[in-house]
Amino acid sequence: MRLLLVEDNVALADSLCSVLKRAGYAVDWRTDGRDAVVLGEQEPYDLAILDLGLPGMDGLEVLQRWRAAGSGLPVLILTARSRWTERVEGLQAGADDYLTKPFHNEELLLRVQALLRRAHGRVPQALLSVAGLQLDEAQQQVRVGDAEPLSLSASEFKLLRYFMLNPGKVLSKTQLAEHLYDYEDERDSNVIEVLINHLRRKLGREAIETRRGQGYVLVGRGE
Amino acid sequence: MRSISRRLAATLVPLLLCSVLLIVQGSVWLYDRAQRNYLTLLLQRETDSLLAALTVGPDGLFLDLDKIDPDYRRPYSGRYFVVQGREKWRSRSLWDHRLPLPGDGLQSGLLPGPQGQELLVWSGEYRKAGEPVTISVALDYQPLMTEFRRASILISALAVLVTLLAVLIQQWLLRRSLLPLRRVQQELAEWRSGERLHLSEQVPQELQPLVAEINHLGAQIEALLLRARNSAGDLGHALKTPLAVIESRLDALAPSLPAEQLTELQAQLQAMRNQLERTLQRARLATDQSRAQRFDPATDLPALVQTLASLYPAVPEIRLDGASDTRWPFDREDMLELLGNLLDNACKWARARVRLSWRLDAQHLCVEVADDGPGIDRDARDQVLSRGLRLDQQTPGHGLGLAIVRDLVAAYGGTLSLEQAPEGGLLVSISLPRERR
Repeated sequence: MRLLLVEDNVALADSLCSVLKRAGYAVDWRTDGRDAVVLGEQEPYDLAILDLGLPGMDGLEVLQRWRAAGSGLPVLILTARSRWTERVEGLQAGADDYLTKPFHNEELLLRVQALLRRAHGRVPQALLSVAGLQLDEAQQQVRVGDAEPLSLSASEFKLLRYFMLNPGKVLSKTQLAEHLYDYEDERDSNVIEVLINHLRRKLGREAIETRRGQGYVLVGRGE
Repeated sequence: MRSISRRLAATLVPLLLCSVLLIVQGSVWLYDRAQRNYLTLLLQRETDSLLAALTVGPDGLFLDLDKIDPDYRRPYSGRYFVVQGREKWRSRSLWDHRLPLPGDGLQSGLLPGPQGQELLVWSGEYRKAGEPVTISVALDYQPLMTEFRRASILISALAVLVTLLAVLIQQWLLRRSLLPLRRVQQELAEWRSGERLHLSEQVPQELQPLVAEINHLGAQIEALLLRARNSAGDLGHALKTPLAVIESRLDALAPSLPAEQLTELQAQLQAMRNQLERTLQRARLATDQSRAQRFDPATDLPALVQTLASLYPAVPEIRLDGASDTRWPFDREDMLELLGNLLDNACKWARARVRLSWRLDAQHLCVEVADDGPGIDRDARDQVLSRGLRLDQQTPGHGLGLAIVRDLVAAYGGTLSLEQAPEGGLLVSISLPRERR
């Protein structure tokens, strides 16, 4: 999952970046509203966390530009503006959720998680259950059927979560790379192949099918 | 309280009465004098005719009664004479009354006559046929006196009437000229209740400076409030982000900190958050202040409900129950804050249903927010209200929302109560007076 964080306070952004990365998200961070508009339209983000009081361009206007350009990117507004008038304005401008500062890291993570699941047409639950697999996002563990939970490495967790949010879809290597790595990361398609092999070793060979020339599909336990 | 109209009347009435009475008395006096002068002339002429009636006979002078006016022969006719020569002749009309014979000319006062008459007397000394003769002629002045008295009473009554009329006219004029002031006062009341942004300048010239001053003052207050609100907002924004950084760092540090210290720090942070939020809220309240925008349930409520629906996708239904055709006579932002916090709370706790009903009558706006959640125990309700306690630490902001609502309701002079909802959960009912005293 790749997120765009637009926040002009460096200290807060630093802290948020590390929190989000620890939770297995690839994060691009921008401080200027105008940069955010361009990046949000160019890159295939899964979610944006948007501050409202931004230099260059107000967050609300950034959001309106995205929506005017037809982008359906899920947007979580993270702001100090806590009046209900402002919340109504924010959500009317096209935001999907609204969190006011200050906040707890867990709450932000829960909201991000819920938004991502909603964006992929799933009801928010404690565990993400798809195709006989149960993913515990807090512990970064997966459970196959009724077996003992298996621990996942950070990269494996990222990849599996993306698969599980897009079950039954054919995902190309490029697509996977775009959603798993941020702007600065080295994108090496071999790494994805290696990670998929790791996952197959843990979940079973048939859990992820290869479609030659197209990409991979999560099949799981075939329910 | 001092009243301008009463004070004006109190000065006008004695002034008018005094001057009118003075004029009445003065004119009566003047007329009396003129009358006496004229009658003196007549009396003089009468003396002349009496002198002519004195005829020189063989025994000296005698009064030829045929030559004098018959009035002098009718007793108490009001016309009398006494002629004193060698002999003394008295008019028959005097009957047995004695007319004193004072000196020369007109007597200064009126002399008592017969039957209570008051006589104007004129005397003259002459010489006829070598004999000294003193003639006194008198005329009853009483009928004229009576006439004067009646006239002066009549005129005085008329004067009182005129004074009364003058006072009435004055009061009417005063009320008329104070009418613009009353209109200004009405407009000020409208201003206070937010139906108007400034006083109309279409007033009489005398009131123009006052109205201009009031408008100026209003604009100044508006600007001050705006600045206060903006600086409160700026302060809030400035403090919230660092607070968010601290909170975020603290969360990251949580595993390596002793649990006791962590709880302590978190509690302090929470207290700062709440205090900041409530202070900001209070600074932003606009109860007495007339911003143009009123709360319009037809457009604002659906927007709010939609907002809550996206914040709480799990709560399927927020039912609205009330008339949407009239705007509420309260500030839009404050009402959004009030309803937003109430509905936010309700949505947090509701299982499936939240109800918002409202009723706007001539005196009050009554709002009820109910949910079908677990509700709050009777004992705990008081605690929630009195201290803005959070009952559930897991759901952030609960309690704080109610505290903000309580501050808001208090600022509007309304009432807030927590009850058991028929739906099963908590029922918050609020009543706000339309006119704040």
